[in-house]
Amino acid sequence: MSENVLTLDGVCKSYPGFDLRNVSLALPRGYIMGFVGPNGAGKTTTIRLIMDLARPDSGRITLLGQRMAANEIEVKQRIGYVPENHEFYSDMTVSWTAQFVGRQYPTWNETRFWELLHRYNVDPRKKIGALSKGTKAKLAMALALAHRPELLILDEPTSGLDPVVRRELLSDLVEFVADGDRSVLFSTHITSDLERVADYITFIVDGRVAASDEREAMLERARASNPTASIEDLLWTYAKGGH
Amino acid sequence: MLSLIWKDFYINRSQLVFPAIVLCAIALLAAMGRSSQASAEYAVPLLFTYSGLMVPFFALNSAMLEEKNRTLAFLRSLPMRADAIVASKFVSPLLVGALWAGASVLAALIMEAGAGESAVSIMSGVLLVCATLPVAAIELVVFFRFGASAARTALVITVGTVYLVPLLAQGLVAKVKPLVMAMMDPEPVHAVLFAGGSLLLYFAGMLLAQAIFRRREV
Repeated sequence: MSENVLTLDGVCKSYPGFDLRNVSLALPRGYIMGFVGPNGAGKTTTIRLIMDLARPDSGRITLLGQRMAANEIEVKQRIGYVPENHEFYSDMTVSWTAQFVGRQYPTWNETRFWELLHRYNVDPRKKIGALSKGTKAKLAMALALAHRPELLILDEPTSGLDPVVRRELLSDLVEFVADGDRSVLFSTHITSDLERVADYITFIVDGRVAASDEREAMLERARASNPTASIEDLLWTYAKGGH
Repeated sequence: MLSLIWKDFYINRSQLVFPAIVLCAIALLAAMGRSSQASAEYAVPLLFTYSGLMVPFFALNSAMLEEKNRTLAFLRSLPMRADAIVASKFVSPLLVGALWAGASVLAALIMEAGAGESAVSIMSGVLLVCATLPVAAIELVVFFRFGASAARTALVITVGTVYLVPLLAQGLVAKVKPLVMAMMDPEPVHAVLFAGGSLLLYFAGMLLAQAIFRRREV
C-alpha cells in the first residue's frame, strides 16, 4: 500500500443550514481521486477545509504527511490549488499575476508556465477582468501546474470549459500523475470526467461520504447487480439514499 | 511579505499619481522662483489636506480592492502566512505615509527657500500624517473583521468624530485650540512622543487584526 498524500479523518463542519458530517477519505500517492457529488453536497466546503480556508469543528486533516496548521508555508508550496471561482486582481494582466504567484514558490518553473499558457491559448497581455470564465480556469490551471506540485487540488476545474479544453485539461492530469509521484484530488459533478481519468472515487452526498474506493472496484460491485452500471448510476443511487 | 507590499503599491498606484504630481508642481514652481507668500497660502492647506488623507485612504482603497476582487481567499491559498497578509496591509500605508511626509518636507523646504520665509512648520505636516495612523488602524481592524464596507463606515465615523466632537462640545474648543496650535508648531520632544504613540497604536491595531484574520474563514 503506497503512502497517502491526503487523509481526512472524521472531519465535521457546521454552517447554518448545512452540516459536513464525519468526512473521511485517503488519497494514495500517484493517483487521481474524483470527488463527486450533487450541487450543495459539501465538495467545496471539504476542499476549503483541506486548504485551510475554513476550520473544521472536529476531525483531522493531513496533507503530504503533515498538518497544514503546523507547516502552512511548506505544505502550500507543495500543493497546487484551483478554486471553483478564480479570484485574481481584475485590473492586473495575466503576466503580472504569474510573476506575483511565481514569487511565492521556490520550485516555480517559468518555462513550464509559458508553455502551458501557450497551450491553453491564454494571452499574457490581457487583463484578468477581460478574461472569460473558461480562460480564467485555464490560467488558474497553468498557475497551479507551473510549480510542479506534489498534490493538485481542483475544485470543479472543468465547469465552464468547452469540450476541447476540458479534454486537454483531463489529459494534462493523467500526464501529471504519470511519474507515480504526484496526485490529484478533483471535485466535479460531471461523471464522464471521472470515467476518463479517476483511479479513486469518493461520493459525497448531503454532507457525508457515501462511498470511497477504487473506481474499478466500485464499478465491479455495482455491475454484479447491474451489468451496465456507470459512475452516473452510482451517483444517482447514492443521491437517492441507496448503497 | 515584500511581494505583498509591492503588490499593494502596484495595484493602488493610481491613487499615488495625482498627489505626487501636485507635490512636484508645488516644488517646481517654488524652485523656479515663482513661489510667493500668496501661492504658499494655497499650497500649504493642500499639503495638509493630502497629509490627512494619504494613509487612511490608501489603506481603504487597498482593502476595497481585495474585497472587490475577492482576493483574500486567493492570497490565503498561496504559501504565505495570514499574519503576513495583514502586516502588508498595515506596512504599505505606513510606507506611503513616510514617503509622503518625506516628499512634503522637501516641498516645504523648497517653498521656504522660494518665499524667503517660513511658510509652514515642517514638523506639523509629519505629525498630521502620524495623527492619521490610529484612524487607519481602526479602519483596517474593522476591514479584517467585518469587510471593506464596514471599514469605509468606520473611516467616516472616526474622521467625523475627530472633527465633530470638539465642535459639539463647546467647552472643549478652548481646550483643543492650544493642542491644535501646539501641533502647528510642535516642540521636538512632543513631536517624537506623539509620533511614537501613534505608531504604537498602529502596531497594536496590526496585532489585533492579525489575531482576527488568523481565525477568520475566507
